[in-house]
Amino acid sequence: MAKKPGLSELKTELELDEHMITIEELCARYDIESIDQGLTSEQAKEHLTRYGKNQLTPPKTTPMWVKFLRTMFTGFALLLWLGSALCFLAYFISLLETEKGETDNLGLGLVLMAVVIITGLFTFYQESKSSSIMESFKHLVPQNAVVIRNGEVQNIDTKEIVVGDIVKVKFGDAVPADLRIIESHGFKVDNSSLTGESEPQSRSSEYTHKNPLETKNLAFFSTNAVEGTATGICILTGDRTVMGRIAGLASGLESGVALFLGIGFGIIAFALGYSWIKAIVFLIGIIVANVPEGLLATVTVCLTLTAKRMAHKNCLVKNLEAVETLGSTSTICSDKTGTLTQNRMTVAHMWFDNEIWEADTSEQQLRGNEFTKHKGWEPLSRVAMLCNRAAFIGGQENVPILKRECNGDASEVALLKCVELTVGNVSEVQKANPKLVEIPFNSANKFQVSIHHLEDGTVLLVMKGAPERILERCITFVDKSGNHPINQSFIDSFDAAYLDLGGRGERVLGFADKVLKHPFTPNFAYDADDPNFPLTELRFVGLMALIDPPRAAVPDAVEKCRSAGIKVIMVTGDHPITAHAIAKGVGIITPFCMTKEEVAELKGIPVAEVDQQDVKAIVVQGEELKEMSPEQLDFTLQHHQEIVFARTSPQQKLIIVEGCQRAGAIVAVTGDGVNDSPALKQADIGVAMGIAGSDVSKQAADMILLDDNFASIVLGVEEGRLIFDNLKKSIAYTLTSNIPEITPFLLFIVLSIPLPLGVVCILFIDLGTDMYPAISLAYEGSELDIMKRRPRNAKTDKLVNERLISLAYGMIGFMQAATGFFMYFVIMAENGFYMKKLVGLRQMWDAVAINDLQDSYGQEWTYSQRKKLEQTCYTSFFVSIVIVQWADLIISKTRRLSVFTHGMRNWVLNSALVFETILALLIVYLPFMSYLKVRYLRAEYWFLPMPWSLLLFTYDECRRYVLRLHPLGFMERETYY
Amino acid sequence: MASHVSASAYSATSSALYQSTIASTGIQRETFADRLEQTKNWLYNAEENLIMGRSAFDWLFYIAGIIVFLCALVGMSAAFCAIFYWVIDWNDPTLQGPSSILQVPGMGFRPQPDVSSTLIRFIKGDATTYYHYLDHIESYIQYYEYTLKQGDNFKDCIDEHKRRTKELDKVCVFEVEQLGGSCVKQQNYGFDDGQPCILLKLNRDPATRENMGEILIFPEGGFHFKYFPFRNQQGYRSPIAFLRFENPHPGILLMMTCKAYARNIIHDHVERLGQVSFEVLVD
Repeated sequence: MAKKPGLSELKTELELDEHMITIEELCARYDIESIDQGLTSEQAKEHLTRYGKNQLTPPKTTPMWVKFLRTMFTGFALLLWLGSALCFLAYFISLLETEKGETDNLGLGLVLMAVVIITGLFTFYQESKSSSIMESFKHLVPQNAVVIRNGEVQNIDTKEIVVGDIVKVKFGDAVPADLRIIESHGFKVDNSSLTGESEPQSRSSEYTHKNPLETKNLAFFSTNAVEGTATGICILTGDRTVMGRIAGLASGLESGVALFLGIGFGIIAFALGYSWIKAIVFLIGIIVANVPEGLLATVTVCLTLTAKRMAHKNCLVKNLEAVETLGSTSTICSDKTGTLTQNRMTVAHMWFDNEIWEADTSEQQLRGNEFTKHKGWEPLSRVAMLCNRAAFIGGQENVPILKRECNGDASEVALLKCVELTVGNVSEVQKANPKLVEIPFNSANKFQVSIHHLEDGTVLLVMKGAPERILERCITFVDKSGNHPINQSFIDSFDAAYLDLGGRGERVLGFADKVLKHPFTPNFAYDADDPNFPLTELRFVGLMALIDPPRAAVPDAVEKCRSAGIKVIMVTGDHPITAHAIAKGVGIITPFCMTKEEVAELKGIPVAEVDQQDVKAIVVQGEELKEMSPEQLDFTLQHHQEIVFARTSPQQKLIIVEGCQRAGAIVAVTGDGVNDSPALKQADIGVAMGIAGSDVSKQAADMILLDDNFASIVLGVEEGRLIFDNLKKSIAYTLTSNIPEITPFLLFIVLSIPLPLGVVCILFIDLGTDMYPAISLAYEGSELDIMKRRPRNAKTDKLVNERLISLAYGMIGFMQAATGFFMYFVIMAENGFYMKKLVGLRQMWDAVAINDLQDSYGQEWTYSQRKKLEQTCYTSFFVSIVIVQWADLIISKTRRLSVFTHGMRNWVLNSALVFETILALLIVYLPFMSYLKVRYLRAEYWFLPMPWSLLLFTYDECRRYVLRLHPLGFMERETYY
Repeated sequence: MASHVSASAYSATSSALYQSTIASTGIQRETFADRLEQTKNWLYNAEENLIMGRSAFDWLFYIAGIIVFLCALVGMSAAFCAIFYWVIDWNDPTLQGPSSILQVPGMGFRPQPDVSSTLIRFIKGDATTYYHYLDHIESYIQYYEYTLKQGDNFKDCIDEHKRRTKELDKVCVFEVEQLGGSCVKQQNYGFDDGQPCILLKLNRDPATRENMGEILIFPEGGFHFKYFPFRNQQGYRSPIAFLRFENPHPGILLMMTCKAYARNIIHDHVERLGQVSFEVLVD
């Protein structure tokens, strides 16, 4: 973006002194009373009106009319314009020569012009629609910044930032405005968008250089914070920022490359020996017949539709082409926390009364919890309630418990929500049983303890912490039958439960309590720093195990991926046991696939002796990954179906992605942190998280999941595949009619028959009746097998392959051509020319001077009469193509399924059938159409091609039946496109 | 807005990024040797025993499939055509009367030895410039003179002066004598004197005719309606007439348009209905 001359110009122009003056002077300049207080909201409002919003004026976009003209006068459209101009020229030349010009040239010229304008308008409409959708996407990603105003930390829209605001920036954020740094902790910025330097540069509060771009105490708008945190005073906003000035300098250098082939065609025309105008019109016809004009519009419609649908499913696609790549994805490397899991600790299990109880961990938690009815739950829930520092933030009484915001540590919040859900009114209970003293959790003690004055007057000590540490301090335990002294059998069952829960990857907490006796009354002076109260001889009440549970939709999504041939690899920083447990929970590791360790345990042999053949799953730790050579990594990736990477760093994610790509996979990667951006860029599809993701990761990604949900990626894959399928279908449909359009010319030359189909009619088909049906295939729903196929091999499986050509051209196309020729021979014979008579007749037929050409009945035909008959043939050929295209459109709806199972629910397509027919009727029967070489056609000629249409439909249904009957059989290898 | 700027910066670098991605994945641009190898492999893949991408068995299937498909297609077309030709009338064209394009008859002229030109050009008295015209007229007249005029389907129409109402299947014999004595072979059809005779003929057509118009032609009275309608009768000859240029100005191109007049003949310049145009140039 930053161009060299622009940069030097900028350096001379930049006259800033904000980085040189002291912070006190700066504060005075912006009326900031103190750094801690920041601006008042009145000041902020005043600054906002004075300086405007903190946003760049969007670069001058190309005016609409220029864009419009561009669609009108580039590439293919230019060719049609030229053709049209030549037709007009031919008309005027003939007008000068004979006074009465040749109206067919005039007509053709007008048709070509109309075609260019209509397709141009349509393309323009579609493009502006899709770009406005993309524009709206940009506004969907909220850009927030943390500022201090009125002495409060506030989260505001970056646009609202004003000069003088105290702004807090942390790693992963985009710098929201130009800032003078006043405080920093290991702060580094990536200035590449401004200066092109990619190395992160540290920024601190010292003034080091006169040049604003080089001094350390300025951070600029649109650059990214990659490390550390900083606080700064906003000195410039919006267009006045350094970035804003550069953006203003960068002028657009648009150069459209128009591919122009006109000269080549001119030469061929003369070589053929036709009059030059006729030859060019002829060639335009052939080109038009061969170029799938509707394809561009179809692609745009497909992508626009998909982008809309994806946004609806919480996927935000940054560039539309990414959707298509997503469809060919064969490996997804996914984060665990937040993507596969709900990103909130939840109580999953508890252990009391010598039994493990399961708690509901689903997102809604609608199931009733069985354990609450048991007696042992009461003391455990009391400890969980009282020995808890977490609290709900006020004013959320109407919010469902699980959605409420809380203060406190994730585990404590989980306990709080658990008891709130099961017992209720935690804060009331806490108030009724006030806390007398508390020792918070610390890593040396590994427990937390508090003493409460209960409602009934007694004093209760409650403790929670690491289970083994808690148990050490207990002498009794409680179960349904009351308190018992701890014995060996209790210890054994405790160990078993602890091991079991730990093995599920859960964080286990132990709970204990003790009723304190005299002298520990409510009035006793408890000392938390130097505990003067007993912390041993407690009563053990139970265990609780917490986990960040998988999202409900994830197991299905993973299963869908597996059936779609997509490998899901989990990459997480978590502990291997937790990672393994979650992988099992969501189905990334299936019950039948065992890791080396599991096989060893099952067979009772050491890990080293395990046969590699039995091992299908693996949990690789970051440490091991570090030691691996690329070859070893490749081996690991290729020889295990189910892979989990645990304890990995974000840098290692990049190594994993590269490894997958070496194996030929198309890789989608999720990421949220700053350090994930190299992996996101390296991946074929980078997926950032909308909620947890940093600004940097969102910029690096191709797609943003607004709900952070893994299942959304799978929906994206489905959409990507659908796009590819529908484009294929649309192309197959459009290409088919090329054969009945080209063969008349071929037989005209080879057999010397009068021309069966004219150029104008080809244009009517390609740019008229075929257009809307081709686009309507973009609206086609997915076939049932869409997520049961292997991913497309992006290198070998092309949009148009030889099977598609062989089906569209070789089979359906030839049947359509046969229909057209049948109609041609019928019309000719009914008027007097039998097939035998027609062969070799071309020269006589086209001779203007022969006015008494005899037909098979001996009738004599003048030139104009023959031409009239020829044009009737054009018309009937055109009508027969339209009618066989009905069948073609219906068979193009599916690639494998029968239309009877797939259904006709695509109403755009259904209306396209009607539209196509009405358009054909208008073309044939509108009064002035004879100027375009279209003749009135007797009604029965509309019915003659219908049996052919039915035949075509039946043929393809049979073909697809054989295809389904023998998967991977001959029919599939040769005709499944 | 920040995202806007960075997004545009991004698209500018995306292709470079793509290139670097390609490079880092270790996928290399294929060389000529690679392509040669690929082609060889395509021609014959020894590993899977594939010839041009298909196994021998598949090829057999493939070729058989094509043959079956083409046979079926040709068979279907032939069947449709057979049905059609079985239905169609071999003696009378299916489309007659108002539905026929030939509702308005056309006109032709002779001599026209070159079908690509309607210009008759010659030098008065120089036989080398017009003998081919004479030959052409002569051969056409002979087509009327030396043919069978007797038989069950012929009828002498000398005395007929009205529209025929009966024996429509019989042919009215067109006697060459009706063309008069001015335009005869003996006088080289007037070409010697620079007074060329042009032969006009009305096309065979199923329509009926009304009285002919006032044109200075032989036979006087033009094309008589007694020669119509044409019903594909054996030995039918279209009525013809000679048009004689009494005194064409030398060196001037005469652009002639002859129109046939009848109640059912409409004239349309663009479509050239019921008329014939030619040019005569006597040098």
